[in-house]
Amino acid sequence: MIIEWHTHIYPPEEAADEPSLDGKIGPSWEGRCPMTLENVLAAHQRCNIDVTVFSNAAHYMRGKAPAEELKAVQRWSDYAAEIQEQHKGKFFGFATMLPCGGPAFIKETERAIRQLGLKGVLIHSSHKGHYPDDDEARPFWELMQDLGVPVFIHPPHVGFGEERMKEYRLASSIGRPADLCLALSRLIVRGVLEDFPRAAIVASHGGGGICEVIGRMNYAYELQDECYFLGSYAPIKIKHEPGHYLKRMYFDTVSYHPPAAQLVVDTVGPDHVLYGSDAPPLTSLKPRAIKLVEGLRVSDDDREKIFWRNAAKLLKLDVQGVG
Amino acid sequence: MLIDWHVHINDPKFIGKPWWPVPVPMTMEDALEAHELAGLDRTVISNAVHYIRHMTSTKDVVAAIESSNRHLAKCRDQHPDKFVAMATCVPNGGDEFLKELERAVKQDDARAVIINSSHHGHYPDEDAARPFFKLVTDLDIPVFIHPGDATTPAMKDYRLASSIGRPADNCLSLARLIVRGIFEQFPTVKIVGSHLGGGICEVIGRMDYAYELLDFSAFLGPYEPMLIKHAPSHYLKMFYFDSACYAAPAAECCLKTVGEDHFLFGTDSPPMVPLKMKGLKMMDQIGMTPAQRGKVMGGNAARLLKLN
Repeated sequence: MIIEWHTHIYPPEEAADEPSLDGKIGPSWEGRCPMTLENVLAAHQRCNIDVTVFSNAAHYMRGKAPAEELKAVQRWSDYAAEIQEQHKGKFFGFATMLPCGGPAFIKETERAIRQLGLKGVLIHSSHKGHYPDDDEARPFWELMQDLGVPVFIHPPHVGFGEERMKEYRLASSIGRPADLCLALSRLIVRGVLEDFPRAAIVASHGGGGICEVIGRMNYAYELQDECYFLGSYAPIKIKHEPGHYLKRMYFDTVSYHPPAAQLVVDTVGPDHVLYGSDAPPLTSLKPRAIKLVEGLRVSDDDREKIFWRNAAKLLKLDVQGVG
Repeated sequence: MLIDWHVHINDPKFIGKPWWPVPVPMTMEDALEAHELAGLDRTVISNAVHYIRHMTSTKDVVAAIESSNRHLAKCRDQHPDKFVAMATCVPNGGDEFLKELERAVKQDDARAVIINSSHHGHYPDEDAARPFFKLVTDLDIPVFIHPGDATTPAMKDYRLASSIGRPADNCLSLARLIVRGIFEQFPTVKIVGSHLGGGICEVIGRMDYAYELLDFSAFLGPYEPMLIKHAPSHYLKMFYFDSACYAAPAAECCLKTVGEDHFLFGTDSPPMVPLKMKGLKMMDQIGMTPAQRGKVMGGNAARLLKLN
């Protein structure tokens, strides 16, 4: 059994016409957007996936004027609910939300989960400079605890430092995971996991590199006074070292590099890792993503957890043998 | 042979405001004490010169670097059986920096050079740095790439500029060197990334598919002019990385990615004085055969530094 955690669909009109890569200039999809329902269905069948979780990374959000943002996420909620209904029991959809967006977005999150029945919420690691640990996002985290559905954190089109990674697709290869890593680290040090212990946070792409730098976060916390030269740590909002909170999060295996996926498993344990492929859009790589999990250095039981049991638990799926 | 690749000593000329807050944990005495504590054969001393970001004139930066190079050579001369000295350089700074590097290597016997991953927004893959790579290739010395101080307001609190920002800048710098063809132009250059490469082993899969799915991934942006002939992971394995990370699974990921001939024991202590033994003991937790251990704990560094 396989549950695919990480695959993307765009609403048809966005797939047809994302204005450009950076909101201003650059190529548009030109009819080649791989994130369509048809492609996700085909990949699902070709790779013998049992359940596909589909979400919308909505890179186009950065090109939307503030007045258009709510409409854009509502449109996706409706479209996602439609797909979920059409492919009942096989496809489960996530809403896409702006956690710092204010009351209207809170209301829309409730509608997407309670009325439309979507199974989780994707948020960007940052949106127009706002990070999900900002105070504006606290009502969102309260709601997510009440709703009891997972929050999937995923990079936006690009985070910080774009001007230094303009060429050779580095904004995607380096910039996106770096922004994700920063967002997760901020959630930790700003106490979001301390204040909202029941929130189920799933990080895309193995956490974007945070498992490689967690040692730095730990000593910056542990050596409070001795590391005074690294800057202030006030006011302290956490009670344990950052690695403690890291292990409360979940991570998907999207990395396309076996030692990196193994690092994630070895850091947070097999109960907190979920198989994912990011395909579509990376349609042709899906078999490689599956093979990567088959090759992980874990027990057969743990491999089953990674392939589907952990995801089934988070999604509260009524699958035989889960729970 | 037990060699710690990654230890910093600051130039005492640049202590106090605005250079470095006091007390500075990067003194010769601290480095010596850590050396003895860990029972090392050699400590490789370098200066990441974080303070040059406060300088605006080239003349001041060149002078500061020469002063640092001379200071580290002096520390080494006092303890030649313990210390190996690196010089510092700004790779895109121009001829004066290259002249000083050549002097430090030829006169002061510096065995390697440390550069920052970026300096004032300039990265070592830029064309202006190509003469630097020509020089280090001619001198046959390794280049140690270490984070500078690129940061962003989103990481100003809770030491995240250090925890996240520094490795991220290092990772970007190494990625840029790969895609901008440094190993194609200088196939014999030896480049050591600090701190496991700052996360590049976790994102190398992304770099590979961005290259391999060249047309399909057009939506990720252009890839021109094409300056490489293989997938980025091919070049990643040409780098060397040090182990300073204080998290065994992370170190193991790096070792598995680049192999035992390209992985070097390093602690970043000093300045992380209280963590010296933690950095050393972590190496017992990453599953190496005795032969691999011999290479990683000192053999590779001895080869790079030409210690006989």
